[in-house]
Amino acid sequence: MELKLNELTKQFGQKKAVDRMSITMKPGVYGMLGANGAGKTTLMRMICGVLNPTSGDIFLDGNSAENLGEDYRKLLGYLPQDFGYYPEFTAQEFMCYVAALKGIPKQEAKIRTKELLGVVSLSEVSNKKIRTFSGGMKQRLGIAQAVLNDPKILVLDEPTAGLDPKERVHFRNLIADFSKDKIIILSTHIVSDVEYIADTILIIKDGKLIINSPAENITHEMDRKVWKCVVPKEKATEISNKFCLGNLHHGDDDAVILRILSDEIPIDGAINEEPTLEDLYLYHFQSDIAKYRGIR
Amino acid sequence: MNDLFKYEFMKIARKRMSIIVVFASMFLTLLLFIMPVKNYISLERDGSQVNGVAAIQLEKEYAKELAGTLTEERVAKDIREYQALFSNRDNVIKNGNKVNLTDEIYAYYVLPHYSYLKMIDEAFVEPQITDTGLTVIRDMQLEDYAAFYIARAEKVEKYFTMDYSDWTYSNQEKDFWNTKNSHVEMPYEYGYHAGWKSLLQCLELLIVPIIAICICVAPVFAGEYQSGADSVILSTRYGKSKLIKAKISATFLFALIVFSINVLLSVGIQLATFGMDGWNLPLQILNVTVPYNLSLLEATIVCIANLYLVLIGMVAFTLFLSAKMKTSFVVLVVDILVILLPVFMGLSGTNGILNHILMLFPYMSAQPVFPADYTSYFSYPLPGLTLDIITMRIIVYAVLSVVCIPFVGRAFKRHQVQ
Repeated sequence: MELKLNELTKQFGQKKAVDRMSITMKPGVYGMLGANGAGKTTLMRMICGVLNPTSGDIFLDGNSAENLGEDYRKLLGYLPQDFGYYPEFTAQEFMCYVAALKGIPKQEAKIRTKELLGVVSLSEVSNKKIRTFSGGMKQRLGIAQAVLNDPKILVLDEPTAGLDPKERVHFRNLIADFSKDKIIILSTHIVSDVEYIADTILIIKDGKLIINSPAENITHEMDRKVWKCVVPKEKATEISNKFCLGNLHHGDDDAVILRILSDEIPIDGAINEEPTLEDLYLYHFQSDIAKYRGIR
Repeated sequence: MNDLFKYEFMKIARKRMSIIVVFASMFLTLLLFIMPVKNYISLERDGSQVNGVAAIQLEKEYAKELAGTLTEERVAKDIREYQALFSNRDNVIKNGNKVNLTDEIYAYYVLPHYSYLKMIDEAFVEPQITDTGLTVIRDMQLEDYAAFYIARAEKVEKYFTMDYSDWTYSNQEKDFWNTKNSHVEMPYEYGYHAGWKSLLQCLELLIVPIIAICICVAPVFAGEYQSGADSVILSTRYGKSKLIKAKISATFLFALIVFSINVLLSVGIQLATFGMDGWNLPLQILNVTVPYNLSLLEATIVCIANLYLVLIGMVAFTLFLSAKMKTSFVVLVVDILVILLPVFMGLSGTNGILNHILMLFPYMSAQPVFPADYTSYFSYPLPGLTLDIITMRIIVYAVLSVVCIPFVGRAFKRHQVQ
């Protein structure tokens, strides 16, 4: 199975939310990283056929997704960022409703619903109205509905939003189990969510795909760009403002330990550190982070 | 499809707003249709007032005295009897040039038969004149027969030749109405008919449940956009095909069930209290010149069928708006404006074309055409064809439904999640 995005573009007025994006995806987990407004959600909506591209095409095994219509959508599972639900429905009713929408036979739908509500730890509340659910419970229900039809292409937009740390680990394991022979596209701006489960990392900035790399190689470009600096407290602010700061930690005495991302050695005595995905992300989005700091 | 239909129906019916609105509209229907029963007034021959069910019983007794065929001889006899009341000096009070019956005589002889005498009087009164004092039949010279039906025909003819500030009847329209009138069966049969009269006067109040239903179905598509559920459903296999059919069918079923309950409540209350008597009497005993050859039961069925068509048309229109608009609130604002536009604008005194358009809006279309001369001869002349207002309404609402539904599907399929 091959999902190919060809020069996919979406323009809203003058702004290009997605700009001539091309990528070919084969079964595996694709972790999509990008700041808010980078174009992740727009891209996912286009992949799921709920938003038409301004130009470009999506192909599944060489066939246009638009022409495939129902045959394409029956392979899809989608958890949108803002998951809409029906407050008057119980979790079970909601799952059966989505099953009907996905064309799953009634008996099979019942079995899958029971099984999946168990997987996302909602069995005990399966007959309760969704109105009474917490944010995390709704999100888990959203995840369950997305995998209801055992989709070949699973698109998850910010799936871990609203989940507590334990639920996030549980979710990661669920996706890892589920991923065999499937294309899973998972967007987030929480780096650790994709760090452990993604086979491929996609980094999107201003609507463009700036990195498309296997997860194991992803941090290579950051080799010799991550520095550990121990500086006196009074110098910490000056250095933090001058360089891209990865982390700041106050030591036992007056010293501050800084994790600096820089092409050059930032200060004398700085020691090279092992890069992480978060370093890579921060390195590429340092201008956004600077903007955020400025606003703050 | 069956499952989708079931869940779509549940979505509409289980919404808190739907439950509140449906029960409120049913309560209002109960109230509005009980009021005419509770407030029904009749006077004993001694002038004392009787209300409610007792008044209805009294009315039945009075009507029994008048039941029968309205031959010219019978009408003449009844007019003579009425005129005779004025020939006895003891019965009248003179006030300048005016001669009135005493309260006792009026209460004993006239009031019990007032509706009947008013109907006879109407045939002889000039168009657009109201004669509450029944002076025309009091003062008229009678031959052996009353020429009641001739007077009716002459009055109808005057409708077409009168000067109206907003309309002039064409020859085509005159021919149309004359042909229609030629089918009206004469002589009329008279009898007790208070239930049907009351029902025909009140049926327009069923616009309330129609508005309530529009409120309930406004979120069918727009609600999905508002809640963000559109992303999930449009990305599913049947989200752009079977779901649309399921939504449309579930909406119509919901609308028909709710409206039918309201119809049953309204008709049930009135006929259970007033009785079914008079169902086969001609419509003309309510309005002597009405050109439709229908019994009171048939006229009621026509009015109810007309209301169902308005409902179906408005539901289709609401679904179309719902699929196009982003929020159900905007859908409701447009809906209410369309339904109540004639109330805000009012009919024009001079612009007949505008009036012909306004008469097709839902609020006006819910009103029965039979009781008033203005609406009972309301026609739409087209090249080579004249349509009465009832047929025109049927066409307009059928077309509205047929046109809107395909666009509903198209709008939802093309909806972009943004």
